[in-house]
Amino acid sequence: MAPRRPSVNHDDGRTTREMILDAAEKRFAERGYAGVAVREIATDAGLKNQASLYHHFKNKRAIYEAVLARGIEPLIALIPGGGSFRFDSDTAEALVDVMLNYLAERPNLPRLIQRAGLDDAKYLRKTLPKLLRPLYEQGLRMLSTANGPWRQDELPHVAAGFYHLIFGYFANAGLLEAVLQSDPASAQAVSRQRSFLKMAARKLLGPQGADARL
Amino acid sequence: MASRSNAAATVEEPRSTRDVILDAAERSFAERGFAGVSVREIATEAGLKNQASLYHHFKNKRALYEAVLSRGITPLISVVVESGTNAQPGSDETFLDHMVTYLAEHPHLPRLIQRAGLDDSKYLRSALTRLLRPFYTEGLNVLAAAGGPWQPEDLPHLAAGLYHLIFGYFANSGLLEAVLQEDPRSPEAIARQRRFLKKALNLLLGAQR
Repeated sequence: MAPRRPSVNHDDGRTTREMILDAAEKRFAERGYAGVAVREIATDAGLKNQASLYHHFKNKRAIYEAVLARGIEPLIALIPGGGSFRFDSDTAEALVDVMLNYLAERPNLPRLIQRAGLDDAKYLRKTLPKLLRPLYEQGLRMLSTANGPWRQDELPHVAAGFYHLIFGYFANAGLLEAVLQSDPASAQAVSRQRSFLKMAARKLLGPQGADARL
Repeated sequence: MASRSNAAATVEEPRSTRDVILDAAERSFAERGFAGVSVREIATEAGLKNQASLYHHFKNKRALYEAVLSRGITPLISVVVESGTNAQPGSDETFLDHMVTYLAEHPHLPRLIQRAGLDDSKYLRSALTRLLRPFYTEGLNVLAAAGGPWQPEDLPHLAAGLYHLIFGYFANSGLLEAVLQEDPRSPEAIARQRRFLKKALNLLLGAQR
């Protein structure tokens, strides 16, 4: 059972801060930073007015950064590494499960990250890379323990590749649905995506025969 | 498949007005999305005196947008189809080389597709879908013919995965640059990305369990 959070004042147990972040995440994912007004976030969060929102967040940018941080920071903890950890097919499969479960529960997050990646605004340009860098470094550390077919200088490309494989599916769900003509977020589709990713991870990262080291 | 930049070695043919407009529109739509760009801005970007000349070539903003997408995506369909008809070892290499070269030479396109994919507008989404569907269908055919360990129900996921691997690198190049702290579009980085993709595709399609 989750411990009782301070200042719980809503029926579903969420704090005001969480409700604001949930509303903001959805809106930012749908319209991007510029396309959302703080007023809309306040309304969606069930607040009487914007003033109560500003109790929790200094400005729109602070909300945006908090949403991204809330979504991305836990991912770093999900990637094992350090110590005697050795990356192999089994740990790769476990990681796929953990990442997929995380993203499937937060449908707005990958889309938000995709939008944030497209956002050129000077004042926003640093936000996302700053949050993703530790995730990338952790991923790189993990990959370098794998006894796979990759050279050291290819590992950044492998890391970026896995990012695109895992996040892209959810970030582009709308497009995928239209082109593939089936709902990529359905339980059955996610299940198939899970087995695809596990097989792909095994093939891309597992120990290979001698002739694969090209 | 000569790119426009190295065709006509002796005489550089001036680009048609239509192409110049499409270039400006492609850049602008990629940077700011459909809603974030006005026809007037595109006309200015294209060096036209006014919007009227633009409307000579394109009925309205939507028509312009569709023409940009069509111009960008249609050649990719031939790349995929050709890779399928040369079904021999090494032909997967050629397909990837063509794709990477094409995307590297058309830097706005992957971004444009990424933006279009996020777009709310049903109309715009359907324009993109209409163009991507043949690309996807051909891709599925090629993957099914390639053999390997995948079941039929895996193939859409494999196709989508390959799309993300190939396009994502270019669509997210700004983000990659900031996170990886090197330019993903430098010749060295692109050469490495080619190697990565070829090896990845061989591993994914290989018969090994």
